[in-house]
Order: sequence, then structure tokens, then C-alpha cells
Amino acid sequence: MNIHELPMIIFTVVAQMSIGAFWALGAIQVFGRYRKLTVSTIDRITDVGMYAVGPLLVAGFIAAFFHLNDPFHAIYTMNNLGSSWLSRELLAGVLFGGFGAAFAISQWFGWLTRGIREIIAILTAVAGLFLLIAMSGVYYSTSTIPAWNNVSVPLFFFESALLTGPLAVAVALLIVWTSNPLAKIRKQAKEPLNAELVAFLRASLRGLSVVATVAGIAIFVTYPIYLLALSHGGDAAEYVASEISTSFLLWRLLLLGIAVVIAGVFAFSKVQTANQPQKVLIVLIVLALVLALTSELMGRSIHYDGLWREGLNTWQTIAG
Amino acid sequence: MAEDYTKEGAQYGFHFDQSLCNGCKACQIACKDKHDLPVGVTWRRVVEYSGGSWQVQGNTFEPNVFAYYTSVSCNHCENAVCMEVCPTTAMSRRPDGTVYVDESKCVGCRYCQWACPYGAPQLNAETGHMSKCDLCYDYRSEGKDPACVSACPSRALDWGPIDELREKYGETNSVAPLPDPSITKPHLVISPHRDAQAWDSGTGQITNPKEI
Repeated sequence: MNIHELPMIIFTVVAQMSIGAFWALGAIQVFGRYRKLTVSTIDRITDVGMYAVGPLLVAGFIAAFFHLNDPFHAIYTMNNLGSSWLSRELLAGVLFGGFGAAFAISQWFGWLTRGIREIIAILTAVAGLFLLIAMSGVYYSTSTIPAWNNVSVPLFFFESALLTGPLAVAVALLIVWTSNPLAKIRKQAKEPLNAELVAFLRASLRGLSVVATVAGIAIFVTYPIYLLALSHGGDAAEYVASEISTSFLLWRLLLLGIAVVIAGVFAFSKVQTANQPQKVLIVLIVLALVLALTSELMGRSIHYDGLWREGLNTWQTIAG
Repeated sequence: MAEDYTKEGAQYGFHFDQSLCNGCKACQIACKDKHDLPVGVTWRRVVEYSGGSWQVQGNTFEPNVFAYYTSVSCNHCENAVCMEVCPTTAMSRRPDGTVYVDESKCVGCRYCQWACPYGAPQLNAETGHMSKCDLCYDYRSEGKDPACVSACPSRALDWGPIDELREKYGETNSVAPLPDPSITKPHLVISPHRDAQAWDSGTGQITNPKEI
């Protein structure tokens, strides 16, 4: 495990998960409308997930702060938007967090009209896309680091968002199905979900597990292509290819494989027959999320092991 | 009156004569001493590069080995990749063309260090800021040569406006183990060692990786 870059490992994985989760919630909203459900009904099952995304992103940003050796100068980090992808990443992060917070707060208090709130939600989703692109750009644009200047890096980031985000939302949906924590917090009467809403929730869960499975399989396919490209990419790239081909990578893929099988086979078929949130289903989905997250954190550690330049690598690079 | 060594638009750079360097590292130590750098921060480093191959003459295979030193610091590149990636613009250029770290802005994110193919920007853990060679700006403002140049016992180092250096010593800057010079266009001229290998030949390897 790459301990030196732990703050960045946590930040990138968690931020990508929150982007993927926000997109998944948006997709459920669109899907609900297609099913002719009322907006407030759909909100009943998406709100819990939405309120969970915010703290998740904040946690990611707090982790990222530990990467800075002088956080007091953080206000200057957007000075170079014209050429630095890192500046762009921070701007995108602030936009994603800002729009997301505006949406969550106005949704909670019922401020503004529904239409305006939805525009803010769309802006949040677009800012999330911008954040993913900028995050990829930070690594992809470094022409001196061949393991990062590779198209697999943005692919891994997008796949990661689509793997962990939907699984996190699936867990949130199960929480809504089991109990209604929001009603408890807001001291509202607890209405049980009607049959139509349960059917919609189950369909959403199936969709989420399919997206996560496809994303997981995509990661599997990307790895051999990535390693092949590195092992034919010149001295520095070859060095990285041999350095990262370890049992750590094997375990990362093994955990991902188990997560994909659980989400794609067991959870998917279990949802189809479940009339209530059974324990087995909860265990399966939570396990899939935990395994996928662990695997992604390991994968991101391997990503940072790719920091090997063409040219001179100093003692500071070796020591991390 | 002392000569003006911080002339605007001069585009200063280094010249390094590989054929004279014996790897004594006096330049490295002079730099460390002058700037009082902590352990682990080395603005100028001496890289040992060695390798070998076989030469075939008729039915005879003869070993053909080489080893030479390259003293490298910041090359105050024309396309300074450190300045390009720096999110805060702390990595900036003085009017005389030299690149330095504005510590009042640096956030210590190390992105410049990741990107620089010469390993020039290094983190000073004591200040939390990046640090690098500024071609001894303070010495130059007093009309003195940079510490490394003065310290070299074999006179392998020289400095000055890059155009003058190129006129005097030629255009070579693409010797292994240095990277492809087209990436950053370094203000560096090298008088190559007789066994110098091309940057992309991949014939040798750095034999003192933990010293640089």
C-alpha cells in the first residue's frame, strides 16, 4: 500500500464515488418520471442517498488537505486555471460541492421552486462530470510520467465512479426500504412504501447492480490493456509495469471479481424475488460495496505507484 | 562596478562539460552549503550513468563499456513544465529568465516535483514548501557566480545567457540519462563525454539512484 499518497488515494476514490452516486440518483429520478411516478414519491427513495453524498465529498476533501504541506496557502490553488489541471480540479470540486450543497439544502427546507432545484441538480451532475475530467487531466496531462499519461487512467477513474457510486446508492435504497430515517429525523409520520414504490425501488436496485457490474467488468478489461501498453512503452513505463505486477494487484482484482459476482449474480437475482428487504440482500449489497471500495482503494494505491518519470527520478521520488 | 548578473531578458542557463567531470560532487555540496539545505533536499545532483554492449569484429566479440557523470540542477527551461502544472503560480519566472519558488504562495502539493523530468523542485519538509535552484539569485545580484560554478575543481560548470553559452559550446542537451529535451526546452548546454549516449538510446542505467 502506498502510504505516502494515502490522502490522495482516499480523496480520489471517495470523490469519484460521490460523483457516481449523484449520477445514479439522477438516473433514478429520470427513470421514475418515465414510470409516471410523482416527484415527491421518487424523492422519498432518493433523498437519503442524496444527503449521504455531501458528507462523503466533504470527507474526501478533508483527506485531500492532508496532501498539502502548507494548507494555509490553499486559497492560492485556483490561481493557474489557464494551464494547471490541478487548479481546474479544485474549481470543479468547489462547483460540484457548492451546487450539491445548494441543492441538498433547498431540497431539505423546500426552498425555491421544484424546477429551479432541478436545474441546480443538473448543474451539480455536470460539475461532477467536469470534476472527473479534471481529476483525470491532473494525471493524464503529465507527459513525463508514462504510467499516468495513458488513456487507461481516465478510463479507470470513470469506471471507478460507475462501480462504487451505484453500489453506495443501492445501500441507501436498502436503508430507505428497511426503515425511513428521514421521517424519523424530521419527526414525520412514517408511511409504509406502497406496492408501486416497492416495485420501483426493486427495479432501481436491479439497474444499479447492472451498472456496477458492467463498470467492474470494464475495470477487468482495462487492466491487461494498460499493462500491455506499459510493458511496450519505453524504459520508465516498463519499470512501472514490472513494479506493479505483484500479488497486491492480484488481490485487488480478486476482490473486485468477488464484488462483481455478488452484485451481478447474487444480489441481482435476489432483488427480483424479494418482497421485503431481506437480511441476505442487505448483506450481499453491503458486502459488494465494501469489497468494491477496498479493491478501488488498492487500485488507486497502484495508480500512485506509477509515479516514475522519464528522465531523472530523485531520491525524493524513491522515498515517496 | 560589479557586472550585472541579473539582466532582464538574459535567459540564463548552465553549461556542463561532461568530459571534465570526475564525479567529485563538490558542486552538489557547495549548493547544499550555500542554501543550507536539509537532509533529503539536493538542488544539484551528480548522476552516474553506465552501461555496455558488445562490439563484433569478424569473429571476435569485444566488450564496450562506458561510465560518465552528469551534474544536473534546475535548467530554467523555456517550457517550464513545473510552472505549467503549478496550481498557485508560486512556481514563477524572474525577468532574467530564471525559475524560482514564490514561497508566499506555494501550497506544497508537490505537483511540480511529479512533473519535472529533471527532479529539480524538491519539497523542503521544514517549511512545507517546494524549493529549487534559482541560479543563486542573491549571489548574482552581488555580481558573484553561482556557488556550484565557483566550487567545481575541474571547471566543468559554466553559466550565462543561454544564447552566449550555445554560441560558445554548441547546442547539445540530449545526453542520457537526461530526458527528451523537446519536452521542456532546457536552458542547458552539454559538452558531451566521449562515450555519451543519446537520451533515447536506453543503453545504460543510473547507477547511483539513491544519491540523486
